[in-house]
Amino acid sequence: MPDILLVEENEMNSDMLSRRLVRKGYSVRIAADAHAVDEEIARRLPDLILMDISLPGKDGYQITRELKASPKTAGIPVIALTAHAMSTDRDKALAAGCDEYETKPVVLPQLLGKIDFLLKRQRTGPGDAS
Amino acid sequence: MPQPLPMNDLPAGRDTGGKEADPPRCSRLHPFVTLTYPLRSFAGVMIALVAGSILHQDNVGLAVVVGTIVMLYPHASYLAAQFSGRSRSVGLATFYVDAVFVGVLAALLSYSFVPSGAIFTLCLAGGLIMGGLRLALPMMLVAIVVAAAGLIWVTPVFTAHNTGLPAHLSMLAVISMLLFISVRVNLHGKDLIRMRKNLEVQNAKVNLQAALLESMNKVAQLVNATLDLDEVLVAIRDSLKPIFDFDQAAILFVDQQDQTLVPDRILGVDTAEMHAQLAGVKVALSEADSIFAATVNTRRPLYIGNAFAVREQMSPADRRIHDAAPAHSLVTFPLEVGDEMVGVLVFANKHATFDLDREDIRTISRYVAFVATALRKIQLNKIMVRAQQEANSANEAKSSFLANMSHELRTPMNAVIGYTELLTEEAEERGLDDMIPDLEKIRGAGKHLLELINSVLDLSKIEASKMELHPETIPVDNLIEELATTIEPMARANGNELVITRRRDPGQIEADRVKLRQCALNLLSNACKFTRDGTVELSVDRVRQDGREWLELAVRDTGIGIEVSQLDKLFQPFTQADTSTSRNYGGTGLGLAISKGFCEMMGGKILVDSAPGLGSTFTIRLPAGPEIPPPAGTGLMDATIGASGAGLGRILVIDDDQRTLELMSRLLAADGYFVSIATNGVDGLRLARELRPDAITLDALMPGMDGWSVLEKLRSDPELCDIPVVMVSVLDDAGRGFALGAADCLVKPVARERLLAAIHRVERKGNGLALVVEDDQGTRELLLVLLAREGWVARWANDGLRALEMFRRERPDLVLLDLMLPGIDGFEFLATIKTEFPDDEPAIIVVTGRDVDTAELERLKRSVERIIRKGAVPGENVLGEIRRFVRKNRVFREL
Repeated sequence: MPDILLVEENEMNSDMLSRRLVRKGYSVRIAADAHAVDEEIARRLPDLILMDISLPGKDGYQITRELKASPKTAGIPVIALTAHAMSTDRDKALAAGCDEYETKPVVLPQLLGKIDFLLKRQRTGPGDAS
Repeated sequence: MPQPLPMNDLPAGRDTGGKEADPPRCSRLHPFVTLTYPLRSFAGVMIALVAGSILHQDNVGLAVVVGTIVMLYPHASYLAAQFSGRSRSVGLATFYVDAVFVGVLAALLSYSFVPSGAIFTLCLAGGLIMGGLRLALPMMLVAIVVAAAGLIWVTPVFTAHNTGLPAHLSMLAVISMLLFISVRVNLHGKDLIRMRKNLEVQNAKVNLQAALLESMNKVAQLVNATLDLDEVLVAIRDSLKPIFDFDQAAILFVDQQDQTLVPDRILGVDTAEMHAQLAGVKVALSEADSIFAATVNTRRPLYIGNAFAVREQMSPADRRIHDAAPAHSLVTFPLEVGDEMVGVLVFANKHATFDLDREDIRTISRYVAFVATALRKIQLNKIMVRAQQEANSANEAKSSFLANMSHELRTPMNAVIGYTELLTEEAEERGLDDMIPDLEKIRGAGKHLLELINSVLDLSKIEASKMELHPETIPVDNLIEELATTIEPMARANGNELVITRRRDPGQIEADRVKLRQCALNLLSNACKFTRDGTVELSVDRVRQDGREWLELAVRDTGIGIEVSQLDKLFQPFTQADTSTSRNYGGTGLGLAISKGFCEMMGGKILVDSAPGLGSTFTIRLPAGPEIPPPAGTGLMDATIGASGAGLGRILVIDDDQRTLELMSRLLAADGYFVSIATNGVDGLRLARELRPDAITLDALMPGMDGWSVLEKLRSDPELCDIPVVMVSVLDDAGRGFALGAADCLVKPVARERLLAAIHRVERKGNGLALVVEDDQGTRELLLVLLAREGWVARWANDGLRALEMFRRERPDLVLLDLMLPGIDGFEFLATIKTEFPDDEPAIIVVTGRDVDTAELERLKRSVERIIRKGAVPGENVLGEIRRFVRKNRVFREL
């Protein structure tokens, strides 16, 4: 069962999205801020991270940059989730090192497609999937 | 109530001559000295002579003494004058010498009452005239002391002598004259000095004026060149500084809105601290006892001699300014332009009282009036810049508000839609099917709301000019495919057929993919929404208009259509053509407004054409090529604009007549061609080689190389021979033109329709590359013209060897081949290319005048499309056959 770490401050959103993902057969852990992200990662490395950008304290871009800078976590695919549907956000997310980008409210099939793609790429190595 | 400030309208005027300039000491002779010295010397000699004549018999010693004294006297007077520092004391010094002389004479005259008394009286009178009692009394004192000293020494020697009245009287007369002259000279000297002084003052004033003029000039230049207030203020201060004793300059601007004076800049004061203290300081124009407000209200310069002394009486705002920038004395000038008060210009000295008279004030006032306009300009500019900044920040605030709002609105929407989807899934799982339609309604409403939020955000960003474009190169076919896939289900839902029409290869376009897609999808979804069981057609084309190339995406439907009167409203936000529309068809009513905004941002537009019941056509038109600049008036036009891209034609116009050049290039440019012009044959040939135009219009009659020669040169150049040439001539010599290989001939003056028709017909269309292998020039040129007219790019060779060379260099699509050629003949040519390029299968047409036997025919048939026999003169039927073939071949190739 793929292990997804959902980084989301809003309880309602994390509850909803995690339930939908669990229903689709993923195991989901939730972290509400940078501190919780560190704790969850220390516990076990997730297979994929869904990263909300608007977070208290360190924002999603910052956390992603730090994750991608550490050799231990650099390989974990990160999908940025943001409510801002602006192309600059997309650029910012990619610049911060996110592998993919989704606008909230998420269109579930689209998000699942991206999750599957990234997980598959993770298993087979980036060379094959791209 | 505070005591009124002791500010003066004008500074206490000073007495023009009152201030005593210090003349340089001893460096030059005082005019007074030079005037009196010869007189005294002359008089001294006379007195010595008279004394000698009277006294030499009885008293030689006395005569010698008198002689010596009178000879020394002028020198003593001279020296006294020369060593006295001030002009005033020059006269006095000589008078003291005179007094000593009077004392000595009295003694010499043995104190006889009449002459001595007379001399004393004269001396007293002279002193009184020149210097009043203050001079006369010390003079008398000196004279008496000297006379008394003489008493001690002279009396025993001269007691018994009586020198006689006549001698005394004559001496008295001489001395009187001497004194009289002395007094007169002294008076004149004074006048002279005064005049000289005035002259110096005048001179200084002239110099001052000149210096001011010069600095005004400098400031004027500076003011025109800069809008930097500091720079101007420094220039003003520095230009006045050498003339007047200022070390600070400040400016306060009138704020018309709240009727205040705002200190803007103060020069000559420690800035950081001062700015902190001055922050927010304003002087209300109504403020009593403010020197600054009073300057504006009275429109007159004001002066404060000692500001520290009157600090307590200052108005509160003045005091704050004074504390921030302390100054001992200051003078304020009103800045006015016309009737409008701009502000106050202040000059100050931090430590000293400066010294200004009326004339100085007038001079500075003139100067200030002169710079007022410049300062006004700077003030207006500042106001404008500030307004701009305020508008910008308001805009930024608005758009960040919208961005935040959209975030705040989306987050709960996110939850609403997400939970509804979750519930739907659960309901499906648990078999609660009756709940599903309601859940779908909640989800639908949520989505609609979200769409609205997004649209409002888009629209606000467009309006605030905050929408960013991310242009990329989009292959149009790719985009069309994507659009078709996306819209297909929606079209089917209403029973519509989706048709994609593509007239020609639409190529690529530089645009923001996301926004272009959004615009096209908006039009398509509208079409699908308002059409039932009909057709929705998406057609794509490239068009030329207004001098440039455009990409058109047209969405045509067979739906309900729109009334003409409603067309304008379509693109206004929140306006659907009919208010009932949204009830029946849904939609936010913002889509078209947003699409229009996006298209306009990308330099394009949306066109609409519709009739009720007949459906509508919405067309997105975006620029798809570089803009074609208007034709230049003279010379060669810039040849760098766009290498002739897909379907774009470049026409070279060669004509020596400026009017024709302008007319033709305007007509052609208006029709969407790139136009280059050349004013003579040589330039024309050069440009033809450089630009490889798609067609050339060529004036027959030109000075130097005429059109016919140019045409011949073009035709004989293997690289240029395929460019169709339209001859333009005042004479109708079409026969000659065609004979020389012109593609068309026009007669001047050229009508627009004729020109464009000819160009359209001959314009090289780039259907393919043809190679004409023919040694007969006439036939070759005929074939070349034919090919050019049919849109082929043609090369030629006049023998087999050259033909092979050309073939190897550029593989042609079509070869028109003569069999009889010098060197390598047609058969050999065919055999060589067959072995060299077995995979290349160009269409080959044999055009030959030679009889071909059956065996040869069989050989040829394997590799040749068609054999055309030409007669002695290639007639129309041969051309017709070739034309038919090349046309057919073109169609075939396109398939």
